[in-house]
Amino acid sequence: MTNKVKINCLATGVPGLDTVLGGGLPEFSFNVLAGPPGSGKTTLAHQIMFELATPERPALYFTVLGEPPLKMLRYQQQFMFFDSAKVNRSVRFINLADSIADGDFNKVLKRISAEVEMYGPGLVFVDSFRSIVLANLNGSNSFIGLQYFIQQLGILMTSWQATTFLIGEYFVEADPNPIFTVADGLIWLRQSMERNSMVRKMEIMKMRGQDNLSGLHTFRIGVSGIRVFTPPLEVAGEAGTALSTNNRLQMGVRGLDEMMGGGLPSGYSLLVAGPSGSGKSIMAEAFLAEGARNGETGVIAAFEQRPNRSRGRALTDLIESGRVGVVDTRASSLSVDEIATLLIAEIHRLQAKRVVIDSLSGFELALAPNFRQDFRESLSRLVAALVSTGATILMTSELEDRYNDLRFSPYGTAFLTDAIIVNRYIELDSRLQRVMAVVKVRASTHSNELRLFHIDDQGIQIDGMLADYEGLLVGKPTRCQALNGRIIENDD
Amino acid sequence: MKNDVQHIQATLLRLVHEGADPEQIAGIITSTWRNIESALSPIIGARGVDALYKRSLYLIRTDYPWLGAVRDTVPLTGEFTALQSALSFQTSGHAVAANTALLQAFYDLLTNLIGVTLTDQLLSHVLHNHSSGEAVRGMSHDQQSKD
Repeated sequence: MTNKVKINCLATGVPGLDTVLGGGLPEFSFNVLAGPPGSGKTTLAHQIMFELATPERPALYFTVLGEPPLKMLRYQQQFMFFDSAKVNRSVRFINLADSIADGDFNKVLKRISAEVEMYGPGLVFVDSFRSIVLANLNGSNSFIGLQYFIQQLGILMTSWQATTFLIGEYFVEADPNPIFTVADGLIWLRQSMERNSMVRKMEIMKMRGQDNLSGLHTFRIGVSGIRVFTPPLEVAGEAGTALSTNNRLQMGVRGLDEMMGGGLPSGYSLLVAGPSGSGKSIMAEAFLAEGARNGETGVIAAFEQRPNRSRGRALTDLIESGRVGVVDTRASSLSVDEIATLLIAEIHRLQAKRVVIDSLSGFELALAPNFRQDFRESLSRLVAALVSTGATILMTSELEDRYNDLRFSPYGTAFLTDAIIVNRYIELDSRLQRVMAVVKVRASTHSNELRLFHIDDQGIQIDGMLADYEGLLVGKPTRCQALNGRIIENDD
Repeated sequence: MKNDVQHIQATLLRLVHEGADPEQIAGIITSTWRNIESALSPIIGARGVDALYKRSLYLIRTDYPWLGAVRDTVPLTGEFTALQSALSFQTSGHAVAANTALLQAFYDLLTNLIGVTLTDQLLSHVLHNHSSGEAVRGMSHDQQSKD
């Protein structure tokens, strides 16, 4: 017999927040929203309130000293979620400044009780709670008094079946604040500064009864409010998880499919590594264009140094016709989770089969400095999450030409991908020529040829091998001569 | 609410025309202000309303210097006695004109801060259905019964 209470979870309407909370906001929970000034506490509270408040589940928003209510109303209505029509109907603002002035907790509690009794809210917000604490410190009440007050408030709200948020500025996490003990949920908003970049992060330090996502989650505040970026999770049970080489995608470059053993297996991730100007972006465009020719949609995240640089005509057409979605990468101080969230949303929107990240080098530069240290780990999660959607991924990577060793990517990312194509420059007959090789196609036979290629108006054209040369990978081919079954190097 | 300001003005002028004395006009005006105060102070606090009210008085000080004393009074407690007393010393016409300017300044200030939509959401029903309407109706009844 299962007569256990079932906790109903409310969908907060804040993109990403429900996932981070572990499935939504538990109804009738008593929560604390903490963080330094400007970290988005009031905005988050308003966004949740305007989403959840209805005539049947009205919200009370108590303002205390903190931000003057007039200013709060002025600035909050700049967000799209602020619905003036709900004010004084399903959303009611109540100023407690007069009750708090003498720092008497009982008076404040009485006032809150009276308002709660009058309106029977399903949601209660107290902003900012720190004001109450500070007012108390100036008065004669003790720490015990504060604890008593919070407990009473918690009991009152829970018995009134109101989901409650206390909003406050708390700078010291180690502070033995009684609020933290009483609260069912503790959401901490932070801002981390490094060099010239500021990144907003959210942490669910506690959420009773919920399997919330641990760790710091980046978020942005835009005109539609807060958007939280959850770590990319692998989608269970989708096509991409079981790799098969039966279905192959054509690359859109004549001859390349044969080199890869019949094309790129569907659901694979491919790394195209090569020096600047070696045609990586052109190959990525060809990959998307070939998909479009077969009726497949694609998504591209392009991290160009010059965002306004004109793309290839074919790609521009595909984007304009909606067959290729573009992930906006122009925002500053990006996180890998943010790009992952945007990419996966776009993949689902278009049901995309092909995804391009051009390039990982640009991606790393676009990240906020404090994410760069974890780039490899984050990228590994990103690739896993992307392929788990069933899409096939092509990533390009800038590769410094080194002639004394053989590298496929500067990040050690080669192991992350199922397939690798490397481009190199070689010096031949006083010309800078390009060669290409398929280094790896997991669980598939592929060509081991080093092929010359050139780029013309039609894109990449793969040419023949340099059969009589060796030392191509160190950039300085020398002609070989077969004599009496031995290979003799020609030194001249 | 812009229309409400004009509506209040028109109603008051009609009462003046019908012979209401300055004291009656001042009473109606202050009851309107009390309704505004009771609609706004739970939301923006009594001090918030007081600040807007004093600022509005400041903005119209050149045209109505005799309202200067009202501005110097202690923070209002929802009573508006200083305003009532200042208005009752004026002719009814003067009082209505000063109140219209004051209401308009207050309205403009509030809409500048929180926008027309929200201002109307907070005040429109107070002014339109509740305040001067009721007071004016009461007044009209008084007038009629006197007639």
